[in-house]
Amino acid sequence: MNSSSAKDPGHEPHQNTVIVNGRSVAVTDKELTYEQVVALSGLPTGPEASFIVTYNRGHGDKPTGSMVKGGDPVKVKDGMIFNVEPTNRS
Amino acid sequence: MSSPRIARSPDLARLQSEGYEVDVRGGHLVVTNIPYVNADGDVQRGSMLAALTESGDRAGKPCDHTVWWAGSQPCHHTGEPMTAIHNGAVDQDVAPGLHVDHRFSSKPPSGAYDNYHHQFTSYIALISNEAVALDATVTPRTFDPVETDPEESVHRYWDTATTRAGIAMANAKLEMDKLAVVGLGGSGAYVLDFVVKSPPGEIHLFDGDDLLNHNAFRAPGAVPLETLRNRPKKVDYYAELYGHLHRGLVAHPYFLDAGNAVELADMRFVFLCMDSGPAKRELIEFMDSTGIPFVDVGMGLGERDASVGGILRVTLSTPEYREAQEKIDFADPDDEANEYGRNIQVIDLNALCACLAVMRWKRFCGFYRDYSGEHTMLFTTDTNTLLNEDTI
Repeated sequence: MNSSSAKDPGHEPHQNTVIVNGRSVAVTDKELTYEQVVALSGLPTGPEASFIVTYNRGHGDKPTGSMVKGGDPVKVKDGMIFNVEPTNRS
Repeated sequence: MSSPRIARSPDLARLQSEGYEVDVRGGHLVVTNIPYVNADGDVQRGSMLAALTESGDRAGKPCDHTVWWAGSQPCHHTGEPMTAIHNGAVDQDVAPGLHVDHRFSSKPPSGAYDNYHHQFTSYIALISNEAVALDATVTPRTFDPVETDPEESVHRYWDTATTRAGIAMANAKLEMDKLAVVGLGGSGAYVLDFVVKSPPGEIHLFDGDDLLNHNAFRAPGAVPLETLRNRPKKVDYYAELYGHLHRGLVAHPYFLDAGNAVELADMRFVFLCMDSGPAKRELIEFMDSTGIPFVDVGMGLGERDASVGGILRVTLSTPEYREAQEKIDFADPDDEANEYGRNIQVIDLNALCACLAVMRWKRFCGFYRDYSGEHTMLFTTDTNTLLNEDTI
């Protein structure tokens, strides 16, 4: 994770807590990419794996949406809820 | 098979909605189980028939003011024959299997009946009122089910839900001769439960699996223990169960892949309800290349702290727009499932996938009004949110 406070050693980087698949995670990044959220989920990945990532309780202009590989990162908001799943069962 | 004339004809639909036992067979309108009084003064049941005319896609006006009667001569409650309307005894078949014994003739004041509802209710009232005078509990408006003629309906008894609701025109948009459900797990079985009550003529079921104990807990209805002991194929179990209602179920007790994907070639629409894997990719490639529209459903669930959560996905792919397929996962879930314990499906979520999939098919056909145009639906369980994406 990036630390944005390398030049200010006495100040702790601001932490937000987000929820990924029901698990609270502390993040210091201001933005998260699709790949970072998938990594936070801890789900096994492989060459064929393709995950759906949805978020809720994000920032006001777009609090709810989904993320795709190579798509835009989302701004992190404290309490944001992510879900990461391979939607492969029927 | 196109929608029944009963559904398309307001006068026939009204007769049916009012509880008369209406049937169409052999080119005739047939109303059965009409109470009347015979010459012995007993209450009996008879049938009334008339040739059914056509006006475009619905019934036309009655060709004349007469009707046929199958039964003995109707009498007044006194036992005197109803001579005023009687036009003669006959002994003939008006169509194969449709035998009649009498003919009635009674013109209304206007000189001609407006429609079949006007004509039949008029004659039936004259005849049945005599029976009601002897037994107040009898009625021609029985609301009893009528077994249909295979030429007339894909369902073994009439879809009176559609006629009562007056939505026959919308329902007609779901007519298609062949449809397939690939995969009869929890989602596929619920898709079948809904689609079987709609107009499609043939519903083809593809799945090579047996119906096992754990499958019963993600299946519509209740599977009897004896049935589970017999270890039927899923497609055979469902074809028999839903065969009580629908005549056109075809069970294929094997899996589809590139080698036999051609069996989908004539399908007007396909519901893909199978676990991911190489076969799914092959079927999608086949449907892309042959221009078949389909809906694909998938779910992913996990457990944390003794609570379950995850995401349901419904993808529509049509010849006009295939791009939403990008979000379909082709990794075989069972490669990792045992190690990571991610083998969770829950019946109500299977049913929700099926509801959303069938609703999407109905919007695609125009049965439901649609301002969304989405090709991807994502439902997140822990925030109860439905996302629409890939809209065109």
